[in-house]
Amino acid sequence: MAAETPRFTEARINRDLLGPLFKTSAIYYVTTGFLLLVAMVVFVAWGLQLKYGIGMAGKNRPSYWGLYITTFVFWIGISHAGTLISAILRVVQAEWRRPITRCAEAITTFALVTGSLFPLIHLGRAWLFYWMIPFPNSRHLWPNFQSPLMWDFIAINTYLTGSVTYLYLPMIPDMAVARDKSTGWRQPMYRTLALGWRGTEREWVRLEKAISIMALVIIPVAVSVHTIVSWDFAMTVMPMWHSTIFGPYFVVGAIFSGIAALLIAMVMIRKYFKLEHYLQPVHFDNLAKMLLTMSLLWFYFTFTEYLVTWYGNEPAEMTVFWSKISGRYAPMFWLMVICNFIIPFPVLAIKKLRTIPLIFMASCGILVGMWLERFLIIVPTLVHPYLPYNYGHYWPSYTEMAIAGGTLGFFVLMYFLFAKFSPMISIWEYEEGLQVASKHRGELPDPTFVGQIAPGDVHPGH
Amino acid sequence: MPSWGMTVDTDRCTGCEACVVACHAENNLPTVGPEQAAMGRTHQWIRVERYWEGEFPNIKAKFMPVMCQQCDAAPCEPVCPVNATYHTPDGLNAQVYNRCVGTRFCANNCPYTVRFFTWFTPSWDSPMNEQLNPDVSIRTSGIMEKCTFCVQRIRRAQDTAKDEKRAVKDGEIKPACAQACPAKVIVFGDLSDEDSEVSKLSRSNRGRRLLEELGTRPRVVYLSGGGA
Amino acid sequence: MSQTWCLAKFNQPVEARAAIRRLLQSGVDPQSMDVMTSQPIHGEPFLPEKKPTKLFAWALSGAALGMIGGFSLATFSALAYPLVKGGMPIVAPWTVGLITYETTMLGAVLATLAGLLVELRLPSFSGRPYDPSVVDGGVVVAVPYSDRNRKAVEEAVHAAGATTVNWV
Repeated sequence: MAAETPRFTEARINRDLLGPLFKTSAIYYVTTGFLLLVAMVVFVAWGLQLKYGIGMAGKNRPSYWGLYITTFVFWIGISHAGTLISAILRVVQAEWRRPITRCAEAITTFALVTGSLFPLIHLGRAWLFYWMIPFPNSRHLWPNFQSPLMWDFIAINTYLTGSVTYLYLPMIPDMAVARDKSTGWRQPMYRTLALGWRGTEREWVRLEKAISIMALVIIPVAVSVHTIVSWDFAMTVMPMWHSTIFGPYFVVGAIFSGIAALLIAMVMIRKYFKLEHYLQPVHFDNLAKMLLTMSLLWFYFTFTEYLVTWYGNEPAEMTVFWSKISGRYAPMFWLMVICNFIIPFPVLAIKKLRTIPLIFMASCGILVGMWLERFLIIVPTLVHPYLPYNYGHYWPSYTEMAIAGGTLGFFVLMYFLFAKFSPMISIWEYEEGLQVASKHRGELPDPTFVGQIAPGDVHPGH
Repeated sequence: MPSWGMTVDTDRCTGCEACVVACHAENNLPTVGPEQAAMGRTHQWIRVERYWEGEFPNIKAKFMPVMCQQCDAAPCEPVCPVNATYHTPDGLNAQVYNRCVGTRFCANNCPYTVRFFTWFTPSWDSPMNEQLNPDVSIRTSGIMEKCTFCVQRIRRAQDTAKDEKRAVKDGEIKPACAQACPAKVIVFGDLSDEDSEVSKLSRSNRGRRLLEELGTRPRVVYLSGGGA
Repeated sequence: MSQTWCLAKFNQPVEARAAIRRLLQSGVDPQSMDVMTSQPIHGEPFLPEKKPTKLFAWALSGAALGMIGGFSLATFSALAYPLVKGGMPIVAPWTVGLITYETTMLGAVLATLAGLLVELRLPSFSGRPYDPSVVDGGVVVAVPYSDRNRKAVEEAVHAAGATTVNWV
């Protein structure tokens, strides 16, 4: 924890954390160029699909949804890394959150942007998507608020608005630092984004208040968003979709994959930006314990879901059930169990194995496993409708694979660009953390550090 | 207000699929070609499901024509975000083509799998394009469609009756499938008229509704058994 | 004639506090001063608050507005073009409740952001005293001065140990 942190002055922290903004390596340009190409694939493929028709995707009757909705749910799940985890840690005042919050909140924002592409991409007539926006129109027709898709629309917009706000508020003082340290074309940009922030006492009091209100608001919103995503399935009458535990099951899965994504991002940031002093093993260790908890919860929910189905022995449900356990989808199902539980459980539970490289590998596996989980929820049910005459099959087309896979590049590209634009660790919160830590230790940090508080200055309430 | 309904006598069905052909002709259903058909992208607003009963050699083929069941508590209706499908006062499950944005949620939530999606802009090779029914719109790419109980025939009969200042007579309206059926499997009519043929048949103790345990309240009654 | 400011920089909060005490004794209006830091300082506030923040009230009012808005939207849009779907009522309390919940939260988010900007009168890009070196640590006290009290201000900040003093 902060106890092992070398004592840094503000000037050093500014230099370290703003460094990646102003110094760009050749590797960065190459990687970004590659990611740009991958992201272009998404839009070229989407363009072709718009031109020739949604039939370019491999969907059919009865599998009307497929890779797009799977990947949509996956990205919305990833988005639960940031805002939710950062908000929970803020609310409980976990001090170790400080170097984590920014990279977590950025994941949320960009995962949401990526995820919300999919409901557009998957539409048969994507150019008419605005018919879902409630506004008075010449057709005199409002959207149907009884549809779970409308709940999705409203909830995701609320979450996106909240997440962007929640990302931006703690960024304002950092934008001011960037403004004061940058030159050239960047300076007007940071000047605008800093909104004229000066760091006065009035400003700090209100900013911290606003952030704590946002943290309280965003937690229930995040929970509701993934619950509502699960209701796209649970509201139907289809076998193995119509389940009351889908809400919490999806929320747990979302946080599970979200923490895994966050850990992967943190390992990358730590390595590429040389922030080993800031992102310490303790941060990975604490998050890995949270990841372990989510793995156990995920297993619990999955076990419950399948046990209830099996015991109920309802024919339509059992068809779907056996197709997953021992039928066509069994390899995917068991790979999912391995990735989500059998590997992560020992790796995260045994202290000796809980090292950064192994955590990283377990997290990558969990992302694969959680993607499979969404696929296995969506497709086996669709291809086994009630009337056996209509059993079908589904295999994604190249267009679909290009779009679904390409959005990974799209997401990483946005995240990469963001890392060049904003410090990935909140500067002022990190400094505040040193201040708090020094107070807890009852000792004085580096003398040039403002956080050094004379004994008479310490408020007994802190 | 009439309340449209249908009975299907599966004991009479020979599985000849004349109804399927008639439906294609009447409702401008596109034919998609062998590759798309193999992918499961055919349009069959009515299909004849074939099930085997018993073990060879004592085996019997059972045929069951299935079309949109026009459920009163249709699971497909409330899930559409843009109100493209709703229930008409005379009990039809209406699909409004030009409102549809193509989320396909309705089709996913249909337990009967009777909704069909237009994956590509349909086309008809000459001279098939000459036989399109002018009473039925051609659906563009990216929208959902399904059996309408031949709503164009219902409305035409209602208009004619109105012009002649009389009520629609029982049997006056025949959907294309019922008209084409040589075995008189399908009977269509007004369920609110207690004396109509469909009313009487639907009250028969041979009747059951498809997947009625799901609470969808379908308007199609299947008749079978009972020595008919 | 715009206000002239003295920007005095201190290494330590305790020095800034001493300066503020002296300035107050010399008759500077506490409401007119600003104290800038690179991070929130835990402990007693440097200056008495002019007005306590009402951000929570902002959030609550936003939530209330969002609640009314979402409820009305879901209810009246359904009534404006009543279509029966799936045998459900035209206005179903369950779904109206869901929409109302989300818009309530949206209202709270937007109102909190708006309240923050209004209370701080941001964005503002000119005319406020600022010393960019504050981001590298230290405490900057901004004091308004005129020719009449320039000397008193100068004495007070130097006596408390200001490292740099700018007159703007």
